[in-house]
Amino acid sequence: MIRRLLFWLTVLVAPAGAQWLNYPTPGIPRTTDGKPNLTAPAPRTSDGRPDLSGIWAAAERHHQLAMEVPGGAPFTEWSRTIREARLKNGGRDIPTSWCLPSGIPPDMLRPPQPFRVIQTAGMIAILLEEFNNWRQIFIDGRPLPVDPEPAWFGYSVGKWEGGTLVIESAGFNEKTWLDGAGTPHSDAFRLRERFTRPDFGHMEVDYTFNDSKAFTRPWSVAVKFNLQADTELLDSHCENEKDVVHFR
Amino acid sequence: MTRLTLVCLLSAAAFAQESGSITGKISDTFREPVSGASIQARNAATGAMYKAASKAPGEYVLGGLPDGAYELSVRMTNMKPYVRQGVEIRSGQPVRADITLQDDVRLGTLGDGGRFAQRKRPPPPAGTTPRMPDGKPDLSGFWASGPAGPSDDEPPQGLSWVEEVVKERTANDLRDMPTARCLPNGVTQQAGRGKFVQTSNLLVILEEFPGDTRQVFLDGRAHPQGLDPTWLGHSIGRWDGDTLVVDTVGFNDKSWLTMIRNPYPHTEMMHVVERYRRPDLGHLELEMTVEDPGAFKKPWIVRRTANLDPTDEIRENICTENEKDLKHLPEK
Repeated sequence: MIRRLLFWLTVLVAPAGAQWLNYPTPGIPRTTDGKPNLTAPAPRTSDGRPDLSGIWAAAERHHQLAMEVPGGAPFTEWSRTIREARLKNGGRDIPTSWCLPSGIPPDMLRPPQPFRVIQTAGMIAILLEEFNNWRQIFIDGRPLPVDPEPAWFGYSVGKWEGGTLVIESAGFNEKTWLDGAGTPHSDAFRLRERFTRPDFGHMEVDYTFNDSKAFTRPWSVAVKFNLQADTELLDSHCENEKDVVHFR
Repeated sequence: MTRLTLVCLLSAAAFAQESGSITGKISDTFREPVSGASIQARNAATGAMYKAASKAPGEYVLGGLPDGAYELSVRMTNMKPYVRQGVEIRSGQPVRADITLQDDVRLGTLGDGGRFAQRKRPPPPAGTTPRMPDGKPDLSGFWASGPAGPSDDEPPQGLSWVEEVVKERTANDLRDMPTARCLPNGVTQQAGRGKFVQTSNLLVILEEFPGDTRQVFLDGRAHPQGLDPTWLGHSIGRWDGDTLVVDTVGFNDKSWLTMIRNPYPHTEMMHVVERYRRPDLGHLELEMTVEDPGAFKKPWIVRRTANLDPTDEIRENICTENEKDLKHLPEK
């Protein structure tokens, strides 16, 4: 069943190969043989914070993210039932089959599909290659809204704790899956992401999932990301639900 | 016919050698000027026709009109025809007639009328142009206000195949516009609006409807050879003094120049140059030149201004949420 799911996920995210651009990223540290020096120190902004800007992709796939904690995530009866039903039907109702967003975090956890972080003083934009969607994270000190309009990407605010960017997100709709195995969440879902960039070529994000309807207690997973040097994001507008007919 | 009109008609006969004019401004319901509209005055007594077209910014002049009563009518693509009877010219006195045209796009959906719901926005804030550490203007901000559709000065002059496509799209109530299927607005429709996020080597533009992202490389790179055609093409920018000049090629031929006012097709040869200025804190000015020898007789030049709205943020709008509008669109 999982193999079938993986197959479809691959079909859905496959980009037009010839569009790929092999452009040498300007201004990055390189070794003497001209290759990107991925272990050079992480760049910093003028105020001394780590600069997370760059094109990134997860170091490995995380289709069963909820099973990466020992014993599996602490599902409630509600979330276990939904997840098992989705696994049973091969994941055919995954949002991407209707050109809808994977949501956070799976749209950042599908290598080789990359995303781009653009860090400025007051906000961070994340350009997702998947369907050319975007996230914006306000780091201007504003609090999370009390009752945000439910959205696919929620509402995100961030603050620095030393060299770690801590992003809190809430206001999600109930439509996204937390992983490719159909782990659901409710509209009570809150996500904390702790971003660090230990060196030039590597980023780590510690995800904490908090949703009292879906999980009996909060749970956390750490994910590693690699900088994607000398390449660019692709145009990947999802045209006319081309794949959905194949699910019948 | 009213008694007054009758009197005027009689006086028109008596002073037939007098010659007057009708002037005015054509606007849409957003008080944006409408250029390129056909204006016609028909003399009620003689049936003589007098014609003019509105020029930027929406002004028209119908001159050489003998005294008399006229039927004044205005026609414009995608706007409802306008007719007013009994416009009088007396003793050669000029008459002013400012006219508001209504949209004539029937989407058969919420906000029927081709324009989407408009939020009242505050006036743009006063202040000086923000600048980057290197002294270049910082274009960052949410450029949102103004009309939903750009008020572009002159319609493009299409080759005959292009004008045929425009006629077909207009006759079909624009139902095949890409956004009806949640596909991109395209660069020429969207230029000058959206959330701009600028760093020293990259300008990113986030778009609200349909949600989209555009990258403009400011790091000195050239356009790659043999680009695969894409919806938004490949954009590079350079500074000309305080003006950011964005050059874009590599388009596919699927987007429309603009969705409603100028539903023109283009080819993969399209080349767009956008010149952006931020003369102060609250305004973003754009002059855009669109060249496409496969579609247009001459370059199409457009000027747009957007206001900064610091009280609002770009919102998430996942259009692909099941193409909800498509089934409501009528087909002729």
